Amino acid sequence: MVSLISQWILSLLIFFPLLGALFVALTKDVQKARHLAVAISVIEMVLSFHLIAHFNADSSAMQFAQDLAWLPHGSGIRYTVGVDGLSLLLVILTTVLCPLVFLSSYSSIENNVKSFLALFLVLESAMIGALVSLDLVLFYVFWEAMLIPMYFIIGVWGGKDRIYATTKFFIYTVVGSLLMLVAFAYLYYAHYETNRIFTTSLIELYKTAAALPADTQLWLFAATALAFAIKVPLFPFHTWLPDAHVQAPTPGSVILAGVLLKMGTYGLMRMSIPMFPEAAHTAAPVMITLGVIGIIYGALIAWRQTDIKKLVAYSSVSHLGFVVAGMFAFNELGFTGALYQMVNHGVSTGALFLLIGVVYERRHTREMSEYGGLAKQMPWYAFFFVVATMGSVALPGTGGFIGEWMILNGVFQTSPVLATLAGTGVILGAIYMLWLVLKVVWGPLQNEENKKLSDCNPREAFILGTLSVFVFATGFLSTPMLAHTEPTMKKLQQSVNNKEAYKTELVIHRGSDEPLRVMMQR
Amino acid sequence: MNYQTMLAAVLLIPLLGSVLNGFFLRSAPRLVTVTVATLAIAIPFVLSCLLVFGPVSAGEVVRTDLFTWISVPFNEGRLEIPFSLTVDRLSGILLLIITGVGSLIHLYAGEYMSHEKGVYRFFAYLNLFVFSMLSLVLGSNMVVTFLGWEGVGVCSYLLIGYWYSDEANARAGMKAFVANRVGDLGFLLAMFMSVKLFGTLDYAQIAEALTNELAANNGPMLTAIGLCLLLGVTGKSAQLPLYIWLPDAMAGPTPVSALIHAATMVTSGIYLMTRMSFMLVHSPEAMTTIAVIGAATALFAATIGLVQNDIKKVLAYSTVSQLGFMVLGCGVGAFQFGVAHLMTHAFFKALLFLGAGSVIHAMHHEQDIRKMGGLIKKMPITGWTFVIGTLAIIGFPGLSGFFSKDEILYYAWSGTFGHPLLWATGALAAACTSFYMVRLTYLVFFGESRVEHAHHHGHGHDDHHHHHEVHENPLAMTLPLMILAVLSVIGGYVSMPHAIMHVLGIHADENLITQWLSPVISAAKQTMIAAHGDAHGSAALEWGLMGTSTLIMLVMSGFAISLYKAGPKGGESIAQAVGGLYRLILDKWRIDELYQAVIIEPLKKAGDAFFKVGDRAIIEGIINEGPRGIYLVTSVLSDVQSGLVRNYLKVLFIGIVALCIWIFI
Repeated sequence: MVSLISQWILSLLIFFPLLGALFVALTKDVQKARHLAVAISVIEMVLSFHLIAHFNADSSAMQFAQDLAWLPHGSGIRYTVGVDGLSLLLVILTTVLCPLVFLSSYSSIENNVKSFLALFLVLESAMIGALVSLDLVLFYVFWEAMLIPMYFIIGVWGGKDRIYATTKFFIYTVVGSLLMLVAFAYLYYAHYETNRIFTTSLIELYKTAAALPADTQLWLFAATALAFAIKVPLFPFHTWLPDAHVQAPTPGSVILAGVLLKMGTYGLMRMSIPMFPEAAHTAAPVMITLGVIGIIYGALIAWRQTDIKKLVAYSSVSHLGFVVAGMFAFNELGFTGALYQMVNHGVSTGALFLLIGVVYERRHTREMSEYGGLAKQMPWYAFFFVVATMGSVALPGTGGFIGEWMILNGVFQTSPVLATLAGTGVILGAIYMLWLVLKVVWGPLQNEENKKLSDCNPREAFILGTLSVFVFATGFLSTPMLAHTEPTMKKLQQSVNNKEAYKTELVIHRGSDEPLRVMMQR
Repeated sequence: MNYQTMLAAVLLIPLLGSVLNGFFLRSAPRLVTVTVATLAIAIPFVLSCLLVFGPVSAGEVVRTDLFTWISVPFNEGRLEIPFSLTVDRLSGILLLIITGVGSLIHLYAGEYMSHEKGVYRFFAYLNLFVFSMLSLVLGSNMVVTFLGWEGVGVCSYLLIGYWYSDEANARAGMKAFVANRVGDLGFLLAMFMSVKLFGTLDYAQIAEALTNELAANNGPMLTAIGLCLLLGVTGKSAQLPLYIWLPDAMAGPTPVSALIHAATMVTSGIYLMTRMSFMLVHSPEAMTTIAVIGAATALFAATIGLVQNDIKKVLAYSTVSQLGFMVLGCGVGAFQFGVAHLMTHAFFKALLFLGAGSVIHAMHHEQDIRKMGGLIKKMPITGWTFVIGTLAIIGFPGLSGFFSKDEILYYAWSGTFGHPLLWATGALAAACTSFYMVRLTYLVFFGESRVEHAHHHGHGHDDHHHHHEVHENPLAMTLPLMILAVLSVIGGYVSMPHAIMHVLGIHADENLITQWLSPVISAAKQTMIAAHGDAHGSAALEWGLMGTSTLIMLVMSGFAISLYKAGPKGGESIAQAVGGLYRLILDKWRIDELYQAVIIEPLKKAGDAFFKVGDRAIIEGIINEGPRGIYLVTSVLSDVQSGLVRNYLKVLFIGIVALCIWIFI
């Protein structure tokens, strides 16, 4: 039974929300549709725990793999999925955040509710799909499929300038994706040139790509890295993010910051770096530098914003600068820190966007000057706000600290100067976040409107409380969590530093208890 | 209960207290809140006594590993950071101070905060602070220490801004946090360098790895680590140039000032330097810088203390100055006397702050010493204990400050990294200390009463009937004062100078504190002796310096009394004579304004420029030219976008079909 589930679990995780979307769309009653969406996402979350329970933490292989025929045989395009230490944490992050997001939509989404819920479930499918795809075309399909629901979520349920923001979001991402597609196509033919066989299997193409001449590698690296850098977003490709965040409805902002941005950093770690190790080495100083610029640049801009959402949006630019800098340090500290920080950023920034949503729904403004002194009127809200802030400024005891500490430590081992510059982000982060807290939570309660505000209701308290627990749980339980990722990070580090192809294999669970290890059968 | 469990309990009970008060006892009566909070510190105090006077005093080191906190492959091996606690001779002393003085201050605070609503929040923060402070000193490695190091910063932030409804208080909290963070970057960098050099962050393992050969080959790196640690120290222990947050931190309730900003948190830097002494002494450059920073801070802050009129501000600058003495002690190689002064200072400065709080409480939040005077008649216990505290801090012979400060000054001259100029700076600072402390004590407790009653009219406070008569506070507040007064008298005998020991016929090679700390500092001492020879002091020098500082103390105290005999106007003639300088000192040398103009404003301008020019003009300008063209087309098409989901889904469908066709072909 277990191995049967293990065999199908990833496909189940991908298609269950998609199926759920259909049911949600067909439900007549809006309120029931809301409950149904929550139930589906909770079931999805529980299903995803199967991965944790049965993941072999000593292996860097692609586990729970499935490799089925998909497109016409000669094309070499197959339905191949699998999960390793890199994608595992991000899949869990996605499935855990989604129920919270659906819960938050009870009050934040009031029009076209069913369409929203259905689109969001489609988005969840696409996100999981992109994270577990091991076939370039399959990955690309999911990658683009993520874009479409998000385009509508911002464009239909967004704020005043939603059309401008969502068009910008769409165009930026699509331009990047097309470059990535060109790179994939090149690899596809390059593989045919040498092997006389077409394949889009990521595992096969790792070998092909790493064997390419250095200058070709560099071009292909640039094309894929640009696509992912836009998604991250890495300085200077970040200008779509503040607009998208400010215009998106609360659930959209949460999932954008929580998961969608991580697709960029995930892509860099899954594709750009292991595919083109030679080029990655050449580009590393540039990438770390861009990351460090992003840290400082994003932080200083964040500090000067008066729109709360814009402040948090720019803080993401700063935080993800850390992630990119960390992974291009090419040591275990940097890789592990980068991965862990993706999760932590999802938790703390997700919490911050939810917190903004709570007061936005009550006051319909995001201007900092409209608030102040909320601690008096909303003590629990203030508590959650301070906890999320502490997570965001990477206080020891929160997961953010572990991530940032590993990243800075990792970068320091290769470039002390850049690490020191990145370290100033630790100070600047405290400045803009505490400034936000000062202006929103502390100070006198003067605005008459704010004197009528009610504190978090049980539903809001549950969402924010759960995230608050995660903020601290990630701060103390990093060892068991990261134990799952270690072999993958180690292999990544070795293959990059030896400038050799990233080797991995599929572990396919069959009827028998012994999973089949497949190097590559085609 | 074995000692390992006891050690874990010492750390975790205050955390439990914080959680209880913060979450479960929100609506409990004040007495319950206060009792829980105080017991959460008093029980660890008892356990600490058992630990320190048991195994630690017998020379053992008690260590307990709670769980693996961080574990990453690193350079063929692993970087393991266990969440591990160690109590040895050094952390033992701090353990007793934190939980002992902490218990007294919790007891006091229960009464001091009795007019506050929702006091659970205060005690939850205060317990959490003690938890952080304990992890700082008990951590077996730099990362656990750093957890405490930043944790105390956060608790300090929350407690300074406890009365958050006044934005100034919240701003003071933020300033403290940010200034501390600047220092924390130094600590972080010191950790990264230690990882690079030693592959571990465990204090014991670093000490083992740091052989003389390694030290000889990595001189610049060790200096860099030392200077980065110093940056951390200047933040946490309020030294130049990061001291600016501490005076503002007085915005917090006075028990907080006593516990956090006098007795414990601000002395973390001294702890850290002593803990790392074996490494610091390998770099004469770092040691000299530490000594110079300490001496300069001691003098600089003391000058500002001369002219302040707010009772807590005087004590705040005094604290900065006294911390400077401790840092000076560490910098010249006399770590044990840095720690001794840390301890005596914890006693007498906590006493002085609590005394000040007692006055402020009785005076209904009046803090201006010009509006006090003659209070000793009305508040005899507060008054006389405050006098004892003052005598201790100015180094009156026989009281605690005399011994610990004189040892520092002696080593400032004669220590391995000492220099007569360092001594002179310290002695000058001590002269200022005598003046401002006697001025403060005299203006508050002696002379004519200048207490005003008129300004309370029109206030609608519910405890209105209390406002007219200043009187002594209840036992919960005076008992801690009396205990601390006793400690302020006797606490210094642990660091009795050799010369005096000789006269008294005590035949021991070392005084108590040196003996006690020898397992911690012996490595540093050996390194210093190997590299620089034995310290070059003598009994004659010791007597001479001791006599000189006593003389200075007596002269300056007498001068202060004669000047302020007739009230606060006494100093005005001098102030007028040096007009410009006086105003400059009164404005605290305008360092805050300098930082504002040189650092904060340019950063703000940079942030604005990045946004308006960088993002809006340049990046958007370049990237948007393409998209703008497309956008124009789409905006024509947007007439079609009626906002109906049905239409969007139609487009979606077409898009997916197109995608599928394209893939199959």
